[in-house]
Amino acid sequence: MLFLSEDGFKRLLNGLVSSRNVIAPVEANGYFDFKTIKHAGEAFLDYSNTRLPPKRFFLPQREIVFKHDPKTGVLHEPALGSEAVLLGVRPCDASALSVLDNILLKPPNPDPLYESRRRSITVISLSCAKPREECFCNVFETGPVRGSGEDITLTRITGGLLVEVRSGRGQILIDGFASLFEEAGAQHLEEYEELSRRLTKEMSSRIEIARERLVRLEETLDEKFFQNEAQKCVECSLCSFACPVCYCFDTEDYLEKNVYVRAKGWDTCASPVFTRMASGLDPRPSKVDRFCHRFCHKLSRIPMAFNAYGCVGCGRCVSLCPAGVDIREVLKRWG
Amino acid sequence: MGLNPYAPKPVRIIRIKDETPDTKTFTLSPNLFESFAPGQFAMLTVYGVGEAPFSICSSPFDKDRLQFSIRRMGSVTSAIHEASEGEEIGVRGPYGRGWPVKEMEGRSILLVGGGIGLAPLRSLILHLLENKNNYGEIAVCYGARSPSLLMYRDEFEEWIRRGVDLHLTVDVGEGDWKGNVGVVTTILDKPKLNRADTVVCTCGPPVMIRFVLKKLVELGYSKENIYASLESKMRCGVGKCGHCHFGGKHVCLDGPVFKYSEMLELPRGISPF
Repeated sequence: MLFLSEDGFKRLLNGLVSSRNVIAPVEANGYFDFKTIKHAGEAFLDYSNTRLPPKRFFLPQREIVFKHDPKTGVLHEPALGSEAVLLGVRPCDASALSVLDNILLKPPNPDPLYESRRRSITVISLSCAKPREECFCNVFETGPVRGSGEDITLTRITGGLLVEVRSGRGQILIDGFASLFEEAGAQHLEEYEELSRRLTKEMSSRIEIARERLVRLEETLDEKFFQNEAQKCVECSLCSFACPVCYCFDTEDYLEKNVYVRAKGWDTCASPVFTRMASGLDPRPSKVDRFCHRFCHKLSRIPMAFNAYGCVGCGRCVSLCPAGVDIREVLKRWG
Repeated sequence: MGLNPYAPKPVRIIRIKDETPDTKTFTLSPNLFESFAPGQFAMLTVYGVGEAPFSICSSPFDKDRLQFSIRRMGSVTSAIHEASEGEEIGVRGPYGRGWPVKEMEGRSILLVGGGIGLAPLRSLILHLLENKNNYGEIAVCYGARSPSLLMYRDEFEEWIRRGVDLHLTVDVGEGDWKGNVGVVTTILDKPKLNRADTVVCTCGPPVMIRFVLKKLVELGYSKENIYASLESKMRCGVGKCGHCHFGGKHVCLDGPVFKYSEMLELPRGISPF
């Protein structure tokens, strides 16, 4: 663990902005959102969380998969990720990246677009000081202090920040600014431990779930409860699009300037046409089944396959759902 | 970047054959697949229109061409039907888990098809006939809604000549049809096979598969030896897009061929039960 003074942090930020493409939370229209910043002062690091997760920097809402020129037969590969530093990601959102790594980088067909962005973007997380009311990262141990997909974890403590290097990519970045860091002292580590204990305890008093029961979700499914919850859903898909883990996509083919293009873009299993085939057959035709699938996939199927949950407790779906569907109620039902 | 798994490679349609009033068989060349197993599928692209999964219906021993029988249904299949010989389309694959040809060795085999569901079974029939000495008796029960909707009619004689015990049925007879009339379950008792040791592979509409599975068990076929090829919407074919994900299984990776016991574990809707 390293210690970075307040002054050192300012110098690190200035150094990063002047030498790299830095993406950080900024305030706009009453929300926080990740944007590329030109000056260190633009970064707003005293935020609770951004309205949308930084997922789009790795999985853009829409991206070109290939272009095919029918005249020359040349296949144009899509643009790869460019080097950047993503600063101030909350631990829950950073953990979502490690869940996505499990799924999207899985051999034998890793997603090359995601992979290239994951390789070229250095993720620096910033521990939460004040989890929001709708946060429940404690349930999945994806925060509030330390996540699992970041390259560097920063935690604010008295007089500066505690710095934990989490990957080789993180180490390379730190090495470039080595003079700014010093070894963390015992009092720094003590404060970090104390903060971690206090926040986890605070959050556990709101919600605590016996996670091992979640993987049995489908066996113990309470149809009546799910039917009632699913009735509320208006199928707007906001929960999926705001989710840092949801990764499903649809594709679109078109002709542009005499070149054939395929784009891929976010899709959601909450959509009524998600599984409907051209013949009209639909293996998942009911809203209740779609609703169950979404939760069972996140809370039961992903953990069975990867030893990680498909939810990181960021709380965005809870605060954004216009119908009041609350995944915490689903969790409590089985926890 | 590694190979882009989402990008199809262009091939030419070298032959289009009218199979039934709504289905055509397309022969594509060259065959870019080093090898494939019967029952596997490929993603076909009509450039500028879209992409969809289709079972390969040609012989795995045909190294020069790939064949697909395609029923006109939605935008991609309609666009393929509009295509002419010589046109270019995109192909990628082969994907998925095909029929259990290893487990079938040394045993008798029953194939049950409905409508265009014979397509992935044709690839298997051609594989079996090529390796006839490795397998026991081969019986096929095949049904369609009407005689004109029977696929591969011009190949039946050749299959029979090479030793296939073929039983046909139609839901509704027409013209000079003198064969069986009734759904495919009404002819499942015709092949005389050692049912306890016969491997059964079936493909067809979900409702057909449901009743075929039930009937097979009633007739004494072992659940351990029954397989079906299931159908799902897909956007990627490689387990990333989420569209064919049901109860922890991806039809594109874990299927499209599933064992009887695996189908019992699938959620309602995709499960034939």
